[in-house]
Amino acid sequence: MKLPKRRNYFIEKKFQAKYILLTILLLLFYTFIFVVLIFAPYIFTLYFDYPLAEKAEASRAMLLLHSTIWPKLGLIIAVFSIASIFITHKVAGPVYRLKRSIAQVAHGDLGVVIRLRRGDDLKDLAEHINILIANMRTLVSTIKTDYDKLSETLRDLEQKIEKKTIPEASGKEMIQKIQASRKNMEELIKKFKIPE
Amino acid sequence: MMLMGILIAIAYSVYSNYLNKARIAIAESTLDHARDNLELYNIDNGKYPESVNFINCVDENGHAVFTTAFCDQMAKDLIPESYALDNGIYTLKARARDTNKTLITLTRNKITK
Repeated sequence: MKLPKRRNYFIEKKFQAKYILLTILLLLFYTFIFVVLIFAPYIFTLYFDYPLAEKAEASRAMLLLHSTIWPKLGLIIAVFSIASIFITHKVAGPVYRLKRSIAQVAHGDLGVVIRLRRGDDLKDLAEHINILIANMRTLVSTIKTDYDKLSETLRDLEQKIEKKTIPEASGKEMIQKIQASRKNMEELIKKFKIPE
Repeated sequence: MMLMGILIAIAYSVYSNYLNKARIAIAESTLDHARDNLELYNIDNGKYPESVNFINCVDENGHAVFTTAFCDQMAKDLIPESYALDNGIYTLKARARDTNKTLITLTRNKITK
């Protein structure tokens, strides 16, 4: 089933804001290094004792650069900041879906199957979580089957005790049924490492 | 974040200081060229101009002191303040286009600020 395209690009506000801020900080840091490297030769000429004509030439180049470079750098920062919303959204979207699905599972809904959109990140993680949910589903359904069998055997046992008619063969058969269910449960329990 | 703000403030202060230095250096260089122009005027006319009209860069008789191109350049690079001639010694005062509008004085022998 194809999922509709997400319309809200700011889905996990805190998560995305953190990474957008980080992107902007990195861009500012790069800008700082870039500006220092670009302006350094002119600043050196101004700082040290160069002839006035050379200082003026460097000054003109520096002022020209000053008047042209900032709008361009500002535009680059703005473009990348907007792009970072889309980039973080590729992770934030799946994170939001995973969080919601895990919350559903925590509330007991084992029918959840996480489906991510094409191009979304964290697909591998989603698949692993799907396997985990499927395992839990098998576990609970096995327990339920054994629970049903145990309940039925117990009811049968109660009726026979009330009627005081428990032939030995029937008693043994019931014990075998209970033991079969017990064995099933034991095998399931063995699959898990439970800390002491 | 606060540290970042402090660093940006320091960087901006250093940067604007150098922009001001650049504007002053340009004004000084332009005045240096103005000196050359005044020397040429002196060679042509045997004297320095009594006064200079900075709007069209002409002397008291309407003769050009600076070329039109240099006149335009001067208007861009500095703010002319005054020109005076006293006993054959001229003094041209102008302000640089930095934030403090630094006053620079040109005489025949030196440029002072």
